[in-house]
Amino acid sequence: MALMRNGWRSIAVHAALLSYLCVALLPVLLVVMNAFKSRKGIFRDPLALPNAETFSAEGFSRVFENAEFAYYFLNSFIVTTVSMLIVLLFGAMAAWALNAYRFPGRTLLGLFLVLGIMVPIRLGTVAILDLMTDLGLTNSLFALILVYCAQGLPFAIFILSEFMAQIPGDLPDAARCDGAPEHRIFFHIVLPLIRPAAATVAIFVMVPIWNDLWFPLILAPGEGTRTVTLGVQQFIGQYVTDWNAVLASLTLAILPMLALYMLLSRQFVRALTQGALK
Amino acid sequence: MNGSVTTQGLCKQFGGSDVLRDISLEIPDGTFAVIVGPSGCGKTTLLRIIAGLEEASSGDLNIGCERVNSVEPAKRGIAMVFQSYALYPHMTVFQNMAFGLKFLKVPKDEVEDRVRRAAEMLVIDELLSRKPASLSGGQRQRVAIGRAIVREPRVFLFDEPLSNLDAALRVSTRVELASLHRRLKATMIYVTHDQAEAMTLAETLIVMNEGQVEQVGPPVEIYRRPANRFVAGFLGNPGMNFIRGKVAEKNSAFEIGVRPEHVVITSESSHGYPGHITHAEHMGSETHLFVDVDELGPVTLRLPGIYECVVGAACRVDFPTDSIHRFDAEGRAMS
Ligand SMILES: Nc1ncnc2c1ncn2[C@@H]1O[C@H](COP(=O)(O)OP(=O)(O)O)[C@@H](O)[C@H]1O
Ligand SMILES: [Mg+2]
Repeated sequence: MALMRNGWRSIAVHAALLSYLCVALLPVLLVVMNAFKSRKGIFRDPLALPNAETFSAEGFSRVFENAEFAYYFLNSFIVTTVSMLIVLLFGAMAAWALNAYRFPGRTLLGLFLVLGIMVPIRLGTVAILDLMTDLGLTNSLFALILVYCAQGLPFAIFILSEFMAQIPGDLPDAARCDGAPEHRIFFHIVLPLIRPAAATVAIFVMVPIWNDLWFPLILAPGEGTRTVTLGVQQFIGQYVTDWNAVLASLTLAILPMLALYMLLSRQFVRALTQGALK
Repeated sequence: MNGSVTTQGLCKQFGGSDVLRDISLEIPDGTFAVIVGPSGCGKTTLLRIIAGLEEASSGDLNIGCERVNSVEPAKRGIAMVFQSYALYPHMTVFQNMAFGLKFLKVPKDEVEDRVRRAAEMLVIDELLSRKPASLSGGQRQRVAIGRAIVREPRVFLFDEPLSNLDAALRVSTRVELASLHRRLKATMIYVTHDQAEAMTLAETLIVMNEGQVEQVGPPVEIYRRPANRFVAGFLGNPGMNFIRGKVAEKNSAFEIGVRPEHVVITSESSHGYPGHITHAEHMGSETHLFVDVDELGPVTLRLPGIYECVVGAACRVDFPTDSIHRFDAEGRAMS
């Protein structure tokens, strides 16, 4: 009886998850599929798989012909990785300080730092643009990096400090008895222990940065600082849109995040399922 | 290198509540000192202050001839073994033991040498390349002790190191700790709430209660002449029998105490106090007999061997006058 109920329940759960998977994957699948079709193929039957007649890689060749596109990728790559590294490093440092040291105003500071999770940074766009203009930082990757750090830090601090709370206090104390200075304790004891959480944070921080169109469009639309998502726009014209190139470049843009996810997925799953340190 | 530890008027408050009150101790170089007391009496806090992980609110702490109140832990010549072992989970046993030597600027081949020697001493040389997660509780314990040994400290600090081990392992590790002390000849301060560990390991026993030191001395001496009612009741298993009322007054005391092993069953009807047996615990080597005595209340006896008896049977108990501990109304022992 119990077995039956469990059976039904697991079927229901799987059905729900599978349908969500379909909904989530369908757009991605459509993009990838149509990227490998000729223009005619795309318009005649957008839901069909590419076949011998409709197969074409013209979109890709047009993207690769476009010399600037490599720069767009490079820009995206620089902005995303630098922001992620800064967010992880300073997020972990802040989380550790909030966890391991007692100082006046600690709770308030902690609340302040995670407040950003609840307030979308886009609400401040006008002020940010003003500020960047005053600082002369518009059309620079640095401006984007600054904004993305501000966007990623609250979440990073929140998740990492939940994780660090599980590190037993005896560990840093043992290291202190061993003569390790505080920065060594952080880099040699704490950081290795939060690796799974750091992987999770890395994914959650990087994906929205890579996909963002808003801030590149507003802060760095110049030719030299365009990111991939912005670069794609050049194939979307007022009168004609080069769908082959758009889909091909979007397909290419998915790849780095996919690679990242596969690289970190083991740590990621470990952080989600187990949470605790072993 | 002198490894004596002295404290003078050490106090510690946590957010307004007194955790340690006026702790003054003198632990000579090379002594195995055991601090014993019930849970929550401040033993760990005292040990952490000696280690330098916690700052005393007031008072002096000296290690050797040096005042170390504001010296950082690693410069005090101490090594601590934590109750949770606190092994670094991502490092191998070797790396765990060698971690602290990096900061002492020990040359590389000597690090190797010290770790190997300590590992052999503790019979963990087979485990050096394993991670802590793959070790048993007893093995982790040894690694934690090994990590302390390689630092070659003046003072070892142990915080209930055996409390996470099973009973058999606890006894054998206890014996090993004693022989380790004989070999290393360093000062050892050992915190426990277990009176068997306290009695067997201590050269100097320090009994604590509610943040205060109740009595200091050789364990046998404390057992024989407890300074007050708390110490008398805390040491000994089963615990001391406390008796108030007429019998206490006859001995001109507020309360008297008699250890279970000093109470005997007597057959002569002219001696002792009548009562009846309420329960018997047969340990094999000895028997704990619970007797409800009319004049005294419940009394526990500790009789050698297996004592055949029937629950509910009448009997007479007696105890020699020279085995009586007398206490005044404040609980202090009277001479
Ligand atoms: N960091 C702390 N903050 C507040 N109270 C503490 C702290 N550490 C210990 N205490 C309190 O001090 C008392 C003694 O604790 P502890 O030294 O751990 O006792 P023991 O080791 O003898 O069991 C306990 O009542 C505990 O709640
Ligand atoms: Mg304790």
